[in-house]
Amino acid sequence: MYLRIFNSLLSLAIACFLFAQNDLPNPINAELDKAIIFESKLSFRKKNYGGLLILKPIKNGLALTLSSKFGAKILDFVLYPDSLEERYVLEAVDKKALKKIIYKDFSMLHPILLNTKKIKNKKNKVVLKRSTKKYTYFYLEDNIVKIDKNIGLNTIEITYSEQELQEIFIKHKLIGLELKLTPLRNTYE
Amino acid sequence: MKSFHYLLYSKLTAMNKIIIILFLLIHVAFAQEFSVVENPEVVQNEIISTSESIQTLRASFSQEKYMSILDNPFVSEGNFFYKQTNKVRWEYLEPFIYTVILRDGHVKIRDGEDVENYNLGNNTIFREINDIISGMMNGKMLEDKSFSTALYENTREYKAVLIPQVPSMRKFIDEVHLYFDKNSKLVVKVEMMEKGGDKTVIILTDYQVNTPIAENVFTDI
Repeated sequence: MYLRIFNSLLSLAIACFLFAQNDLPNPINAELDKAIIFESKLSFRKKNYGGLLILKPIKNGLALTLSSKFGAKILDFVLYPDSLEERYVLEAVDKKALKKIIYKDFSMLHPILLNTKKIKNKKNKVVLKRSTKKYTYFYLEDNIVKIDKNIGLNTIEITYSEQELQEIFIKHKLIGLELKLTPLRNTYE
Repeated sequence: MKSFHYLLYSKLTAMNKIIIILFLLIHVAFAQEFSVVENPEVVQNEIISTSESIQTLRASFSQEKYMSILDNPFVSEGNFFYKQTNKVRWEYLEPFIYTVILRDGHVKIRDGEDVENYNLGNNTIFREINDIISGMMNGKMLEDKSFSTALYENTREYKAVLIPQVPSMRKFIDEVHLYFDKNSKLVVKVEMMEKGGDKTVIILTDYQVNTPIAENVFTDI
């Protein structure tokens, strides 16, 4: 257990270091303590669920809030490197598996969200060993940062155009869950 | 030649100006403050009576979402359409496109390219949204036993404070505040106070009452 936590922390630390080294762009493209609002689309079992997802880097963590487009709050979490603080969860979505997926996915994104530097070259391919069996691959293609978790079964793609974030696409192939995040322009705080 | 107003103004000392400004500010503050309505049944009946005379209604809305994660409210805007009985179209136009049609026990949603259909009977959240919107429009929300209701007033508006009594609703809403214009008796502002301190404020403007609204507004999405 402690080894796993240690590995996770080490992975995050390495990820932060590697991204700083590789000069990836910052998807938030704003001050680190400011929030960004995404239009979100969750697809699962042939149904689509639209909403608003807000991310805000805070001290040692990442605040995450999901609400319906009507404005009703669904989730309110703070992700830390080794824990998840639940501030609010709508009863209907209070599922352990769902919270685990959110924690894992956004923990992967967190190091990128913290980076503020610009791309200087595009030939990087970084392999990050997360534990004895799990690997995380960071690719840099033309305007796409791709993170493959678990050897390609789950992927996170972050697409840029002219250094500006266009989309974050998270795909869990095994369970058929997809989450597309598109930043709402002119809503950076 | 100097005007009368200029002469009057120039005669005022700095202290007098401060006193006048303070008086005006205090007057405005008192005008905004709400006090308990003495005859709530009379006001409630007036609001319900006005609501019952509404066959169609359209308005623009501005929705402000106040969340602890945001320093400033998130603002979205759009249009609202209502037609007797219980046909509702609620469409967001900025900063995203999102349309909801509630009609005949069904809800139809367009979110970008996607269109989804739900049966209101199977969907608790949309059924409650439908009940709240319809209840606001026909005034029945004020006599809905699912809420305890208190009525307040200032010079311009009535304010109904509704507190959910149903456990399922109390889980996510602390209070709903409805503001009615005293002249038109129409809802001009809605405040929904959520558990945890977040709130949603909806401001309705540009009302058009009983003007024709084509039927396809409540079918085409």
